[in-house]
Amino acid sequence: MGRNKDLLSNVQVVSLVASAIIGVTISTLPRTVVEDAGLNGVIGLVVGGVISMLLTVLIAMLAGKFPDAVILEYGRNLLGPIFSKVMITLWLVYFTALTGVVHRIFADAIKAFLLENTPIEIIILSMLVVTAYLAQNGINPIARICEAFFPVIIGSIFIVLLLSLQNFNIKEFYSLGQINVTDILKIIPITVISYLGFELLLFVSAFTIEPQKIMRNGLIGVGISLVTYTAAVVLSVGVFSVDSLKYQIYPMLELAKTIAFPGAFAERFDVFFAIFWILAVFTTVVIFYYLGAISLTKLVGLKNYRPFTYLFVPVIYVISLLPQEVAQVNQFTTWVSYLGGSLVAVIPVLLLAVAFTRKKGGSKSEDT
Amino acid sequence: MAVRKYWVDGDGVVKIIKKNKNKGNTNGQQGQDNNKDGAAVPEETVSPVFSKDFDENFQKFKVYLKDGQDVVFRRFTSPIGNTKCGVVFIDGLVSKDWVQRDVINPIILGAGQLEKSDQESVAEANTAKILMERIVTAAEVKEAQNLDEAMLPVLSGETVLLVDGYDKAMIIGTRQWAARSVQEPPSETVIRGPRDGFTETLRFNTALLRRRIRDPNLVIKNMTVGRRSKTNVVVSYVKGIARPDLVQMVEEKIGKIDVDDIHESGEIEQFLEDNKITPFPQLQSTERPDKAVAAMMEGRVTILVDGTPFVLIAPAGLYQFFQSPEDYYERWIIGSLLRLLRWAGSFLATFAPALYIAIVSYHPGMLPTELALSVAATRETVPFPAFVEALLMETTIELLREAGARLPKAIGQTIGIVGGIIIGDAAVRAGIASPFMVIIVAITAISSFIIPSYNVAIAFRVIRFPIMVLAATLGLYGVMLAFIFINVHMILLKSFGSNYMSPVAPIQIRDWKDVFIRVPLQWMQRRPEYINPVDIDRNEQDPVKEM
Repeated sequence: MGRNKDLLSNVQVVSLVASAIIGVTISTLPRTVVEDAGLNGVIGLVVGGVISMLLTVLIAMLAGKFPDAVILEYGRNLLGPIFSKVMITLWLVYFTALTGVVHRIFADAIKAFLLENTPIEIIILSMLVVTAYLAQNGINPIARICEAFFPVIIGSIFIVLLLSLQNFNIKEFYSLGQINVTDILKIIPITVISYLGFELLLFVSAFTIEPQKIMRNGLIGVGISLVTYTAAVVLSVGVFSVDSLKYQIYPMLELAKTIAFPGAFAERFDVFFAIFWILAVFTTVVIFYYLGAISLTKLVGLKNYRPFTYLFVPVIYVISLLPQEVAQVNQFTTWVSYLGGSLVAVIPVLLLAVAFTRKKGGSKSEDT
Repeated sequence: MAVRKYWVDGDGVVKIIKKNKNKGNTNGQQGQDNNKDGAAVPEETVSPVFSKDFDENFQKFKVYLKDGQDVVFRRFTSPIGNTKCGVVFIDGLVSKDWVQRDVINPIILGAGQLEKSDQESVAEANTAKILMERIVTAAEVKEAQNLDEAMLPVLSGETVLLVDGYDKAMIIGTRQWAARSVQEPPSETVIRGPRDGFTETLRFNTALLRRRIRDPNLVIKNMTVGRRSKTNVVVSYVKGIARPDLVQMVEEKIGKIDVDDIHESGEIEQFLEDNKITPFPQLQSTERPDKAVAAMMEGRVTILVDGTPFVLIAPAGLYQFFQSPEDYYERWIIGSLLRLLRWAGSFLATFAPALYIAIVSYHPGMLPTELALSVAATRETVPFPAFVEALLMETTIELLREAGARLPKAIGQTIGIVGGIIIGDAAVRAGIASPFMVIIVAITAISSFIIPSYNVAIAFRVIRFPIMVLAATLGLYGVMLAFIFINVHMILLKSFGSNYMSPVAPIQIRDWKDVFIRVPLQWMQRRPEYINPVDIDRNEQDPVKEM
């Protein structure tokens, strides 16, 4: 694939990665982290972030071998036609299922916090329309939206965290010294999947203005998420304590609720946070929506992904409504996350191994 | 049908570009072509080629212009060899004083100034040349090779001088017509800053630019748009700052405009825009020469259209519409605060009624308890849901605004008082609207006037109605969706290859010095990067004329 005129700048790559990671999970993350492992979950979260960074390095190495192509193209080169189709199908399933389930989780949360009487179908559909409107125009407008919204998203998260410092109680961390390695190991897969999103580097590496900086940009993106996640979990634990955190469905929104705004200017800060959280969710879903559309385009062997972005509206809508109730949503989420996690862990390693043994690729773009 | 397009190039020579639309039917003869051409319809066929015979040439003009009774044909004789001469001009577009003083007077009387010997040599030499070089005292004289070339100048207010024995027409610059003089621009007033504004006369406008940029690199390039109106359009930029491909893009797009007539630069603007389905303007228009010049010094291109004081600036980004020249004339702290105020104002003008609807109907819990109670108490007498209440009041204020804009100034103020005070107060007393709604409507209206550019202010006012609908159906989530949608829409917009949301998305942090705040002038040594000017530094101007 030749180089487009419009290439992604370094800032855009960083904000794309961070926007893809920070999305719907931030609202539930503090609970999922401490649910099974207690305070050790916080350590597990950091370790998970480091593991994600290692995976980012692998992805960047792979992208560095094929600076002019994305995984959907060089995959065929490395795996052959049949296995590459299988790989693309797996990605496609992952992206569509993820987009669907994120829409569902989002709609459930919006229903719980903002619109008690609105059917989730309306919420999902309205979000999908806006998502499709942006996704049909390609990765460049998506990157521009991400870099415009990302400061707002991060800003709103940190404002909530800073304001909730008033309720922070350091005593909740006194038991942090009791490190339990098995707990940490148990929690690591869960924390790693909360960082999913950096795999988009595999799909955009060829469209960047400085492909040699993929690794640096990816690491910064994951790093920002690591800091944000850790801060969010630490603050939540400090405010709520581990025990009560386990029973809160959306701890970040609850955290915002505890904030007493000086001057009684506005009550229910959680609504403010929920509004900005919509931005975070939007930037996440639009990226995966787009990735799903281009995967399907490659699978079918066409060039123009635009028709598929329209086609995806009913598909995602149906997927998002498949789970009947919260337990099923959670089960579905876990399933999708583990699919994504294994794809992200296995495919770069596999492709790198094939590339090394067959001595394909190279820093020069001769074979693509 | 032969289609003619007139292009006036830099030297003022009119070139005719003919393009045949259906090649099969046209015959090569030009006289026949004229009949079919929609632009000039003489019933008799006239060859546009001038002969050496004065009477024949003069007759050609008479045939062409016979339906215009404001055309003056004047024959007279030069004492030099009793040469027949004649002038053709349009009454009202030329200064008759000048024609008389500089053309007719010297030709009839001025032969005496020539020496006897000269007169003899004149007899066999070219009389026209002598007339032109030694007798006619007008400042601006050009030649036209044929009738087509002479027609546009005559219709623009030049005087044609025909001389017997000479197969060309002399075009003498005598344009002068009743025109509004340079006045303060009414649509963009400032407290501090120059008071002169563009006028309807193109030549005054280019002069206003010249007065401010006394640099030989200032390019004033003439083009003509409109098959019949032949409206003069000037593309102006500073060579060595503006990007050549941007200039080329502007010129190409103007060249492609194919219409009968152009009345206002707003029509040119709509032809140049890439996206038609958007309320947002993709070119900036201004009546202020200082604004136009500042844009040109940033590397933008200005488009001046004859007959309108509004000058277009390309490319345009959203943030430009929030800049007022005053930001730069006042101290930077004041300028920055005013800039921030305008951004806040635009947000309120777009979202305030929607936020009111969403909070009152879906999330009253967001308000502090006392306020929520008092809002509920005042809304108790209102029989409508918040959305209907807001829609009624917002529509009323739009009616008032439109009525005020169409009425003479004195009555306009009355409308303001009647509408703002009486209707507002009566609506509350009658229980149609709550006092909070009136406050929201007033804030929205005032905020929408804080934006310096009318065309973007009206865009924000328009989109607030669909946002109100979303707020009524989906609450704050709907408002946020609308916010995302507007942002996505604006990010997809392009203006002459530049992103509409630059420098916010894509981020060009160096250009932020002039977006939300205005930093001290000493720190603005670099021109905006997103326009990609040839010469990025303001202080290192190359004095040599760049080609």
